[in-house]
Amino acid sequence: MPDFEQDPEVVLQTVNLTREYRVGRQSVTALEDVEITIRQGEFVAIMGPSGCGKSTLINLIGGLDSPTSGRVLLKGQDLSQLSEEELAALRRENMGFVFQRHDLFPVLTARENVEFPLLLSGGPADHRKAKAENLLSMVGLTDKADHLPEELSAGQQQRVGIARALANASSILLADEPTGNLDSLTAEEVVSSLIDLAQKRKLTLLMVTHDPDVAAHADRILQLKDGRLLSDDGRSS
Amino acid sequence: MNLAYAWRLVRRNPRRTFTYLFGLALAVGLFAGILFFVDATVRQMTTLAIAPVRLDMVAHATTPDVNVLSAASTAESVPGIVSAEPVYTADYASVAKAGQSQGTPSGRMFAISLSYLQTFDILQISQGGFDPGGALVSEAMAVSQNLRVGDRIQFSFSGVDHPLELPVSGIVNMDRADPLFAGGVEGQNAIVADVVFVGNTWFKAHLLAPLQAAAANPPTSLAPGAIILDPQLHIKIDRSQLPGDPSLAALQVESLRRSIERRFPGQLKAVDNLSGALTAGKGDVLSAKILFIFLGLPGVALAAYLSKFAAELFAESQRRELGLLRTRGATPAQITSLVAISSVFLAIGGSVLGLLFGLALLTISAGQQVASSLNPLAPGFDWAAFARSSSIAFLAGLILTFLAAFLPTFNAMRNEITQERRVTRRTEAAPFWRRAYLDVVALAAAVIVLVIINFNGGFKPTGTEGQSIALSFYIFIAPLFAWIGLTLLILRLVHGGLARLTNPLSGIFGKMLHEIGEVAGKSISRRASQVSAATTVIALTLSFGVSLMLFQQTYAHEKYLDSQYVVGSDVRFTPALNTSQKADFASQLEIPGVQSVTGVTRDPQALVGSEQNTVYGIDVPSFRKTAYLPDSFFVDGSSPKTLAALRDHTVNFAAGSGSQVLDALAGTPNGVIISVEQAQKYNIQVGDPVLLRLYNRLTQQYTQVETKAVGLFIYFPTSDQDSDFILNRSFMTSQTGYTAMSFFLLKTNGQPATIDRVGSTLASKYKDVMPVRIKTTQNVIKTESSSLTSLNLGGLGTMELIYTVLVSSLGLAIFLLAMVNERRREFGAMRALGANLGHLRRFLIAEALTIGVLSLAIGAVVGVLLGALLVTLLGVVFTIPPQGLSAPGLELLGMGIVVLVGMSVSTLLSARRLAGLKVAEALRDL
Repeated sequence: MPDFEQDPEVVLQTVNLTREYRVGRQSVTALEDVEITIRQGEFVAIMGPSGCGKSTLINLIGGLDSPTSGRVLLKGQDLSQLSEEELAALRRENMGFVFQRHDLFPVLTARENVEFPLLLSGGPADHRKAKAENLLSMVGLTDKADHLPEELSAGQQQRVGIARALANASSILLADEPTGNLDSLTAEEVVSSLIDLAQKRKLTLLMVTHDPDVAAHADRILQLKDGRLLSDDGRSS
Repeated sequence: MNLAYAWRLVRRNPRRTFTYLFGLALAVGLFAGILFFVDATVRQMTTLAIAPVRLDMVAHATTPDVNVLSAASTAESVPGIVSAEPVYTADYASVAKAGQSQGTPSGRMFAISLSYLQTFDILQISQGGFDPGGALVSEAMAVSQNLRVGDRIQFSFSGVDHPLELPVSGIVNMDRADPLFAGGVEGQNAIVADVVFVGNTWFKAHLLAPLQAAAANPPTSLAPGAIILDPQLHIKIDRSQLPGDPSLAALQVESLRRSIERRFPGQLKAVDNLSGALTAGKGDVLSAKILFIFLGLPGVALAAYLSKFAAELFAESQRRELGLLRTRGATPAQITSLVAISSVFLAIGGSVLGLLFGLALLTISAGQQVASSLNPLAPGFDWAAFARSSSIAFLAGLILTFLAAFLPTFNAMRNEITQERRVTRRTEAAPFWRRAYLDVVALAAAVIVLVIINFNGGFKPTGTEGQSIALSFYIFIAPLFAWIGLTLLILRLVHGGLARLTNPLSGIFGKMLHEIGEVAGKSISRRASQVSAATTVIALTLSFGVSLMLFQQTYAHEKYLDSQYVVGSDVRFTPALNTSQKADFASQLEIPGVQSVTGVTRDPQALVGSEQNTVYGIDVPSFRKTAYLPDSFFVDGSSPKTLAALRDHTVNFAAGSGSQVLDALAGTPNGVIISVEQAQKYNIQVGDPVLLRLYNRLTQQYTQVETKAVGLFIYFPTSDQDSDFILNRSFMTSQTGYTAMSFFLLKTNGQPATIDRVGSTLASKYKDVMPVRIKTTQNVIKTESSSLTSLNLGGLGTMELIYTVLVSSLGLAIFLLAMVNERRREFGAMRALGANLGHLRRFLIAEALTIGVLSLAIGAVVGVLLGALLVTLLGVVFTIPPQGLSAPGLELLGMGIVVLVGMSVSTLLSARRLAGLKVAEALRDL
């Protein structure tokens, strides 16, 4: 399996990645020995039945969770060697997250939500504001910049979530079922936006999805079952 | 099955459950603590009410031939009676010193046994002692007859042929002997000044038979109203057997009275001196309950609001959870049942914890006496009252849980499923009270009530005679409205202020806490409802603690001033009557600790017009250095306002100044300053001549002196001894020929330890030199007669203080921990987007700072206002109306520091919780 040193295009690798949870007295294996390699700019869909470990995989890749064994390498850097604060800084500078339930901050406007990751990185306020407005225009929500999330539709909320994810994503965009709560028409629009923006910015996009139509757009489809990688269906774009 | 599910619902989120239970326990705990405190205090009310009563019962013989000597042992056999002393009473026609021909008008003879002096604490022997073969004479009689121990006196009785002679064995002070003069008829109570005490045996041998014969055939020379012979039993009951509640004690005393009469049918008629005190005590019980509940109820209301607030903090997630159940097919009835059962579990758990907390709170904060009455193993423990109070507090917990936890969830069942499941912020209409401006309405109502009360003369004691004070419920209407209005107004102002200050808050916190501060400022502003609610709860709790501390300090200070007024200064030293005093006697009293001494002379037999009045003579320079003389005691006698008040018999006098009045007295050798009461009675104005007749002890004649009214006063130091006319001492002694001082006032540095030390040093110095009575402010404070004001306000105050600190610190902790718990997903998202732990902590600190600073500031201001209102309304409990608030600076500062520390600890603990936040888990939260 090529790694970052051998192939600089490799942006992400997992090596024997395993995650077990303790539920009462029992141990549940959510992921077992998963090994994947992802290159810069790839759109990878992660699919599988409920409870197969898709969200666990994406959480581990994003440093939101720690593996029981194995490693996650981001551009050759082993995430397990990093402290919580270093992981937070890594996410701040490299990764964008699109959550299934958008997880917009309810007391911040659309613009303020998008500004949030930029604010954490520092920088002048007018620059942040301009960038946030630019990102909102990319998702077609310029006129909703001063609206609170409760004043937006589900699709609009998710697009704000995408804009926010793009704010600090410099290399990777992680999306965990971004269309799970949307109707099919809206889901199609959101996914199109997401893929389009990721491609334009040459971001690596990892997306957990149940929807085969969404997965059809992906360069590769990773199939998981019972915590194991069943297949890695690489496709050329 | 529902029970099992409901139990799981309670256990599912232990932090949420614990937070709610804790909030409920605080509310129920304080309520229970106050109820237990009131019960424990009421149990002492009987003891306090009857403490001043020195003679419990007097059984008068219906005929003079009743043998009270043998009746005494029968009376003592009645259960509940400790002792019965036989006493014979008879009025003598005249008494004269042996060898003198001229006798004096009649007086009264009491025949008692030696044990009487041990049984009843009524007679205070100031010289000599009680000899069954001699006569103990009253101080007034010793003065009027110029009697000394060893002199022989002759008594003449109407209907008795020969006068009888006895040696004077002692002189007795009659200050506490009023109960001896209560007649067999209710209301009959004519106090006689010239009184003699002789032994029962001597009386039986020399006077009983002749007086019985005279009673059978009353002589025509008998003065109207004179007593020929009145055999009596003076009865002491077992007070330890009386119930603590004065109502029940009164019934028991009445039963004892009837028992006595039943054993001597037609022979004895018992008069009970305890009923009046117990009736007053009953009124005091009600007043005490009203007072304590009034002082404690706002704290309980706050704690209840805290509990409701804790429930509402979790309402969002609970509604989403229940919405999810509904989408999965649960019917509204099933969910209602689940929530109802889980609410009952919470109510029971919280109420039980609350009861335990209330008991612990009372034990820690109340005095030993009150706390010991909570001991279930102690005899006489009132299980019924304990069960009643516990049930009330428990029921309050159930009602609170119903209102705070069940009802909002039940109402949410009516909403659409999707609305309940919505994750985003709910937009709710402004609450009804805000739209209806109920805060303004309540405050206006408070002002209107105060204005009406003032137009009707203000707050006055409405108690019956003997009752220390009666607080009718209407006295609390104004502060109740004020409190409700203030609460809502603070909520409105804080909410409105925060909601409008989004950018300023964002800017301030951005500067203080860097980038995350901007977000925190916006969050605080846009969550104004929650933040303002937390701020209001904590601010009002603080204000309550502050107001109570101010009231207690003012109360303690006024108690001290009242005692100074009663004593005259810090110490009053009264040598026995007729003891010789050298000219430098006053200087002998200047022992270490004494700053100044002034001697006061007194004539209790002076005449103004035809009425006897007590006249005092003071040395103005030393008196003004020593005595307690606030300006509020004096009026401006020349002011038209005062003249109108004198004319119209009102109390609207113009304020005067002590130095002005005393200067006028010092500048007029024959000047007299007079009480406003006497000035109204005798129609005297400043400048008028006032004729007095002073009793000259050397000539035993009255001397008419012309004085000039130079000033008026409302109160004068020691005026509980009827000092209504004050002369210059030098002028008075020149007219009376008597230079010895009646008593001396001593001033110290005012410290209780110094006062006690001076009192005990003087007592031991003169123990074997001369009989003296020493009264200090500390004695008065400890043994004051008002049962309401002697109640343990200190214990209640300590309880409230503990509560203030707890609720202020923990109220913030509840808010912050709930915020961490309920916004886990939000914090998880922040972490996922790159926020580090420091960011999250600063976010938390911003909210804590906002609530902490606002609540401290508002709490302090409102506390002072409430304290002033409390002192104004409850000023009727003071003898002298308080002139302002007394602030316990150190205690307030201490409380502020403890609250700050508590808030800081709460913030730090909440911030530590953030460190344990697992991002992946948090993002899975509903």
